[in-house]
Order: sequence, then C-alpha cells, then structure tokens
Amino acid sequence: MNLEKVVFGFFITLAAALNFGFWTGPIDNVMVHNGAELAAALVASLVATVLKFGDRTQLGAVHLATSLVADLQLVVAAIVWVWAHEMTSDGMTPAHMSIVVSMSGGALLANFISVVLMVSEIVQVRR
Amino acid sequence: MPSHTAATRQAVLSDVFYLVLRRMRFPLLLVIGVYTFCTAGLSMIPGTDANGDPTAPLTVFEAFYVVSYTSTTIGFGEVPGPYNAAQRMWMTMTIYVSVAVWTYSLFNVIALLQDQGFQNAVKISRFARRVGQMRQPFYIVCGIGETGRLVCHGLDHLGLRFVAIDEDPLRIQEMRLDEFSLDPPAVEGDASQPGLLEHAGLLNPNCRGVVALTDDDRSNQAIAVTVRLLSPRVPVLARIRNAETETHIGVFGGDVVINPFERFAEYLAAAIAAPERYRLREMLTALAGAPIIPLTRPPKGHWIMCGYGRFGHAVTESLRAAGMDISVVDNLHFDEGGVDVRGTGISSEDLKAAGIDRAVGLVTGNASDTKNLAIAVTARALNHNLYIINRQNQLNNGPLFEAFHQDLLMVPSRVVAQEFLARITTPMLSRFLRLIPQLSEARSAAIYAELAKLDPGRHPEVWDLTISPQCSPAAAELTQAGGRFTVGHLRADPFDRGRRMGLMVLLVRRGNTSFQLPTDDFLLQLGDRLLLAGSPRAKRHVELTLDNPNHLNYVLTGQESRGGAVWRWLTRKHPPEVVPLPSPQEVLPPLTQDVGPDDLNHDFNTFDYRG
Repeated sequence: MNLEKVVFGFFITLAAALNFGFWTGPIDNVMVHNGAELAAALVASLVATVLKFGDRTQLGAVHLATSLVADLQLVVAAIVWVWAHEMTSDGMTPAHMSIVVSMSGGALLANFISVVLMVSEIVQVRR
Repeated sequence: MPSHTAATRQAVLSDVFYLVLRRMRFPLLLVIGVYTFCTAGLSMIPGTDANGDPTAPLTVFEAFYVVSYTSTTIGFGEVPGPYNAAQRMWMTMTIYVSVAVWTYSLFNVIALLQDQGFQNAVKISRFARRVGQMRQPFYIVCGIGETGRLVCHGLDHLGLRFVAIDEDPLRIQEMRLDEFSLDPPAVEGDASQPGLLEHAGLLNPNCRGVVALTDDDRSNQAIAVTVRLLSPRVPVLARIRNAETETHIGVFGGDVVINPFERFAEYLAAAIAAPERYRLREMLTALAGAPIIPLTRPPKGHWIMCGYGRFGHAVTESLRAAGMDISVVDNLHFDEGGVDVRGTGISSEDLKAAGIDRAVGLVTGNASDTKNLAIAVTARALNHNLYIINRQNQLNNGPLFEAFHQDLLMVPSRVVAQEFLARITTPMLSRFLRLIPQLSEARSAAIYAELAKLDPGRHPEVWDLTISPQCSPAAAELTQAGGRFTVGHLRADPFDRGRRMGLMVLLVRRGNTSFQLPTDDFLLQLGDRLLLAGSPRAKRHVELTLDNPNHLNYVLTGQESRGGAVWRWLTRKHPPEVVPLPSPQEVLPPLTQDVGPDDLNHDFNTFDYRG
C-alpha cells in the first residue's frame, strides 16, 4: 500500500463527498445547504488540486484541469455566499441560494470526472 | 519538421513549469492546511460584546480575512470587534504557525528561483524559444574561443544568422559585449549533448550548417557524429587538432575535419611548389570584400624549422615533400629524433649550426609567441634576406607581429576560421577546392586573373545558387517550360544585355556530374547547383535576372516588358522569342569614348568584365 496513493484518493473522494453533501436537497431551500460544508468542500478541492501538481502524464493533466474547474466553481459559489450573507439586507434568499447550489453542482460534475479518472486508472492497473 | 521543433520547444517550457509545480506542492499543501485549521478555529470561538455578553463567533469569511492579513504579516488591525481571551489565545497560535508557514513557502520559492538546475532550465527554454523564432537560415557555432569568435564575426559580416554554444559562461558573456548586427542567441552548455544541439535548432529546416570548434577534440567528434546521424543533410565541420582522432572520425564523412597545422603546412608547401594554385585557393576562401594582399613567393632552397611539435612536423613533412632541404632546431623534442640541432633557436649559435648563412627561409613554430618573435629577430639579424614565416598563437599579440613585418604569418585560429566560413556558407566551394590540385599552374593563373578582374583589388563574393522555384523563381519557370537559359544569360547585365557583369560561374553540379568553368553557351537546367564568384553588385543584379520575370525576359529577348502577374498569365501561351545575346565586344564602347548622358545611368558598370 502506497501512502501517497491513499492521501490522493482520500482527498479526491473527500472533495466529491463534501460537495455532494452540500449540493444535495432542493436547490432554493436555504435551510438545507450548510455554509461550513461549502467551505470544507472548497478546502478539500484546493488540496486535491495541489496534490495533482507535477504529474506530466496526459491523465495527470486532465486530472489537474478538472480540479481547477471545481475550484473555480466553488470559489464563485463561496463569493456569492459571502456577498448574500453580509452585504444584502435580507440575508440569504432562495434566489442567492440557487446560484450557490448550481455553482456547486457544476463543481460536483468536475469532482465526479476526477473520481472516474482515478477509478479508471486503478482499473488499468488490474491488481 | 516544424512540428518537431515546436514539440521540443514545448517540452522545454513544460519542463520549467512542472519543475515549479512539483517543488511547490508541499509548501502549498501546508499553507492550505494551516489556513483551514486557523480559520476553522477562529470561526468557532464565540465572541464577547462590550457588556460582557456572549455573541456569535466570526463568520468563516471574516475569520479567513483575519487569518489572511495576519499570516502575511500585513496586520491591518481592522477587526469586527475587540476579541475576548479565548479568541486572543487562538490568534496568538495563528500568528506563530501561519507566519512560519508563509515564510517557509516563500523561502522555498526563492530557493527554487536560485536553483542552478532551475535557472539552466529557464535559460535553455528561453534560448530554444529564440532559436525557434528565427525565420532566416542560420548556422550553429559550438565553442566560441578565438576561432569560434572569428567564425561568428565572419558570419555576421556576411549578413548570416548564427547560434552559439559554449561550456564557459565567461565566453558567452564576452560574446554578448561583442558588436554583432543582430544579437545572436547563445547558451552555455555541452554542445556534444544531442539534446542541446536540438534546442539550438539542429532539426530546424533553416539550419544550414554546424561548426564544431570546442577546445576538446572528442567533443568536436561527438558533435560531428550527432549531426551526421540526427540531421544528415546539414553539413558539419569539426576542428581536430590531434591527427589520430581525425582518422577515427573520417568514417562519418570526407570533409568534416580540418586540422589547422596540417592545413597550413599543406598550403605552405603548395605556396612554394605551386604558388598559382595557392593564390587561387586564397582568392576564393578569403573573406569577401577584403583587399587582396600580394604574396611574395616563398623561395626554394635550404630552410630552417624552429620548434618540432605538431606544427613543426607537418611543415617539415610538407616542405620535404616539396623538395626542400630542412634543418630542424628544437630543445624539447630532441630526444624523439628527427631534430638536427639541439637548442631553442633564440641564440645565434643554434641558428648558425642549422646553416643560417646558406638558408633562404625560416619557420618559427613554437606555442609561445614571444619565443617565436625572439627567434625571428635573431635570425633576421644574422641573415637579412631570409624569408620568415611566423606562427602566431594568441590573437591579441597581433600588433607585435605587425611590427615585425614577416613574409608570411600563420595564425591557426584564422586558418581554421577562414576555411570553415568559406566551406560552410558555400558547400559548393568545397567541391571546387578539391578540384584545384588537378589544375595546372597555367590554368590556375588564368582563373586567378579572371577572378581578380571581378572586383578589382578585392576578394570577390563567392556563393551558391540553385536553379529551383524557391531560389530563382523566374529562371526555374523558364527552364521548366523548356526555355533556353544559358550561363551567358546569367552573366548578362539585366539593365543592358550587351554587357557582361563581373560574374563568373566556377562550377555547375548536375546530379553527380560536375562541369568546371562552363562557357557562355552552357545550357542550364532545373535543379542545377552553381558556384558563382562576382562583385557584390553583380550578386545583387543576378538575383534580379533570376527572380524577376520582366528582367529575365529582357535578358532573353532584348524587349522591355513591365507586365504584372496577370498579364504574364494571359500571355503564358506565347513564350517570348529568344534573341541571341549580342556579343559583348560589339556593344562595348571603346575605352576612350566620352560618357554620354545615356551611359551615365550605367556608369557603375564600367569595371565590367570585357571578354
């Protein structure tokens, strides 16, 4: 067992899992989506991105690209969240929440591709 | 081929990129981890308001903001409200941990930037990018010592681009200070590495030749082999100082090697035994536009050779072969045999023992310039009519040798540079030079006389020309259509077809056959490769004939046409009627005739060849 592989797999899966946890539920329900979970998903996604640095294979490049997409989506979601929370008079509205959740949905797709890539890599090894 | 160079370039760039990413992986992870930890803690600790009542903790965003300005030591001090003791404790920890982590990451980046390997990767990628951007033909010069610098300056003088590689960073810096018309890309590194040669554009279709002039024979050999294998169409010239290496490398191609000592000894022997051939060779290989220096012929008789190293051996052998009688003076190599007088030659006793009274010539061949000059001075004092040949080792000792006024000066670096330049810029010239030994003295003298007339007082330009759609579109189209295009047409002045320009065709190569010095009636075909010599003006004008269909048409028919591409296309079915060129003798005005207003336009042609 390779510790590096464990850490890599852990963070890829964690990013996808946290994101899924945040995203799941009705898109405009303010009560269902947790801000701390969004923050955790963003951090996990950033860590996953850095872990993918320096792999020169074609697969590594695609891995990195998907992570960068997820980061971008989640950063935008976080900015919208902070804006809605702090800058508007009526706080989080269903309209704002649907933007945040849809952005995180996009990130989830990118995370999912990452997971698929990782699994396909393992399947290639056949052991 | 371009796709290949693009791929190499990309590989170098991504090398640098991935190197940075790989090295930054751990520091970045650490920063993310510490940020997350500190932010999370701060966003969980409840605050206290002015009355001492508990309030909600900072939001995640506020906590992130506080940690950000703390860890970068910016310390805005702008906080949502005064902290309580628990928050202050957490902030204390945050300050120490996050500042440490930031500093560590920053140092890591700086260390990476200062890393030798990283800097090399950046340098090479920058170099490869510059080489890749070159759109003109260029040459690769490996090793820029004295000879290499001479070659570089020669190429620059001829208006050609080049790329330089040297192992010594000092030489690269010196070269940057030299004045070149265009700043050449230069990189430090081992040129015998195939990878570096590829970055220097070996596989680039614009690469016209490689010159291997590093200090090490083995590197030069490796460069020659690399070029031969990776890019067989690119000519390569390697300097080999040691004769044994040379035979070894001969397998990879006949004319890749030049040994300066042997080469000079050969020329020297030729200058004594066959001076006309020597003059002809000198005429063709010297830098174009340089003034012709008249050569006094080395006399036949008894010679003295001082110094019996590699140069001494080569000269002695050649002179003996040319039928001279030689006495060798040496101290160091006395025990190896072949030396007649033991001594340095600086004292008059040594020279007297070598027979200076009856000698006609003396060659100094030591590796020390002052020693050579000392011998020469002593010798001239003993025998004033002596023909003295000096060997100059250091280029910067030039003024000393100029002051001495010897009859012939041998500068190894110059011999190599001159020959390399001539051969690499005009591959056809090598072919012609190989024919020179087969020429008779009288024939050589005749050719020399013709060449001397091309650009009076100066060495003519010597260049290659191919009748092909790329190099000479108009002429190629004509010959392809079966038109008659002769050497005479090539030499005719495109402004006055009755005159001939100062231009000479030395050699025509068709497939595997060579035609030496073709006459004006010689019919040129598509794909012929020509070796031309002529004045700079003739070089420009002959390009007009070859490129511009209107000028070509005038040269062929004597009729002016000013048509553009459309008109030419419309009349393409009616090829021009060829009118034989008038013989130059009929049209040329007698030399005493006044120049009329019409001729004024052409008076720059007065030095033209007169048949």
